[in-house]
Amino acid sequence: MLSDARTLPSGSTISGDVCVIGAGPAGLTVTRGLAGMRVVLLESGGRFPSPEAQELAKGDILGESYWALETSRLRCLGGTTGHWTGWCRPLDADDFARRDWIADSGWPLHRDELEPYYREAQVACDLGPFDYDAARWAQRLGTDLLPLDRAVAETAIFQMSAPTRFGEKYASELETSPSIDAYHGATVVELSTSRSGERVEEVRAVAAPNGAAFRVRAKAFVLAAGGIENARVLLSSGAPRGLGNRSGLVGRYFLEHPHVAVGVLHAENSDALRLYESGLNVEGGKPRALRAAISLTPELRAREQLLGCSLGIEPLPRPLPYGADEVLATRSLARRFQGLDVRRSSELLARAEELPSPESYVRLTAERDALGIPRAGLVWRHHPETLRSIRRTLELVAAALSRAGIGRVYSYMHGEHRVPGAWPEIFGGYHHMGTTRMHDDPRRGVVDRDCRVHFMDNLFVAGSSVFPTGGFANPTLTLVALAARLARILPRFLA
Amino acid sequence: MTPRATRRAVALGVAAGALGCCALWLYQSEDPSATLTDAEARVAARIASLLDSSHELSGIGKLERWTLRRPLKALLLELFPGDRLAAAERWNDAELEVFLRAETRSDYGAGRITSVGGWLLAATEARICALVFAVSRAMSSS
Repeated sequence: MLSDARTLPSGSTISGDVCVIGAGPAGLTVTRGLAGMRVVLLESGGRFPSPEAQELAKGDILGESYWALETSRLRCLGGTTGHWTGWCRPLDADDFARRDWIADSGWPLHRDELEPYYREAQVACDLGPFDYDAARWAQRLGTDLLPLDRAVAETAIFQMSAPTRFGEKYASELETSPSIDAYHGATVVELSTSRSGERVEEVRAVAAPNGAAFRVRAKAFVLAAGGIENARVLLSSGAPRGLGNRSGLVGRYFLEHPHVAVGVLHAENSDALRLYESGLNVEGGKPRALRAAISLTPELRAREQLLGCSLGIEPLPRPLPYGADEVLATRSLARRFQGLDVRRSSELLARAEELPSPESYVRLTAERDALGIPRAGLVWRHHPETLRSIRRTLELVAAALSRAGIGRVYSYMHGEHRVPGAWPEIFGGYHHMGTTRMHDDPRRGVVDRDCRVHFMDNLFVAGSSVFPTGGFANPTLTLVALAARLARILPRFLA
Repeated sequence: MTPRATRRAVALGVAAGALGCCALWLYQSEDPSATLTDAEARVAARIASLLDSSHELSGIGKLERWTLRRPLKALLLELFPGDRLAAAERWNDAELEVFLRAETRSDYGAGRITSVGGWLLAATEARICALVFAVSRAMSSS
């Protein structure tokens, strides 16, 4: 059943086995995976985005420049998949490992443990087979890959979802399911706990601004409201420090994928570039299309002590930052010393892993929204190590591209003669991660390997807020996989 | 050899000789303590003549700040370490080009790249740009 919470009588109490807060891709995946259990699903927004719901998502940008918080996420059925572009790729195995050169790295899971859930996530996101092997995809599509030195760089494949709008796609399941009570327009105001503070007893919610107040009781609660909102709900629920926050880490370690236009690739025209620059459609539509980017091999990343980073090849969105004379000079060098005719100019866009840092965080501000909940403030900081890593990745990829006879690279990050000290603009990808990070040690994480909040009996978190590190892959596929896994854990917990 | 090719070779030879003299003049005027021989000056001039956009390359070479600090001979010795400079004096253009191609490829393979005003070039390419700039400056000064 899918209802508008405004139809509830004031003071109602709804009961279920599990209460899921948030109907984005994580919340919907948990809900759909709990077949046979009584699930109450609460979504703050409506069936579709609305200015009123987005108003509740407003917050302050207190650190580096970032998108407005009401812009970078959607509060409605399906959540932020409502404006998702559909990029999907699992994290690499080394993303899960402890990497000595990255403080606070290492998941308490191996990628193998997520593998079956990645397969489920592939289906939920309307993708193809769980296969990200570049050579196999190139063969299927009858195209070539860029001939990169395998010891240095490799092609990272992304499957493009339709993109699946989770709200549109799964609303009918909610409507017809006898075991799901889903409410939109239902904003959680507080998680109320037992006297010990170690068990959530009920959720206090309000049906839209000025609507009826009601409660939801359940045996287990799953917070799936997004990387910023998960922290906000926990911090605003248990005075004075917030719920599940004995470690003081709730909201800390905010992660994004810094997107940086890092340079220009002057390359020969080749069919292989199409897969990287515009992508190739896939017959049958699953996935809709394939895109490729260039990344360093995990071995080289380890040797150079670098964070993950992919370099996409994009159409140039701006004028070249240098004159035709330099283009001619580069062509001349490439022609004379490599027999290349580099006439095609594309932009190199880095999508990078960020160094986990407690200095990037979400906190509550003094301002409150229409329901009286403190608004979120985001302090995003660019760690110098993240920037060093992007720059070094560019150097190594540039060398690989030149050596392979693909082209020559102009770097926006090295043009010290032009703009002294200036870095290119860094922007985020609407990827909010890390604010309830996963760690077995309750002093170093907010949730454990089962995504259960440390020191809480029955409170779980779903979504990318549990990522301790973010890799360079877009987070949706992994967060859906983790949510599918949580849906398997919860019945065991309740039994 | 066709008459056209002969004329081209002669013209290039004359140009190389003239450039060599200019480069020599420049070098000696800047740093009399290290003499650039006629043969070395000719190597520098021939490298510059290998490239068909020497004016534009000179622009990039100008960005390479160490051009201004390194004398021409130092650039040549970096391009042709050990006894290779002496060998280069005997090489024809094709041999010079083969050598520089191999060095460029080796630089990229070993990650010996350098930023010249934002261009991520092989160390060899950067030196060539700097050399072309020095030679063209010599020409304009002579």
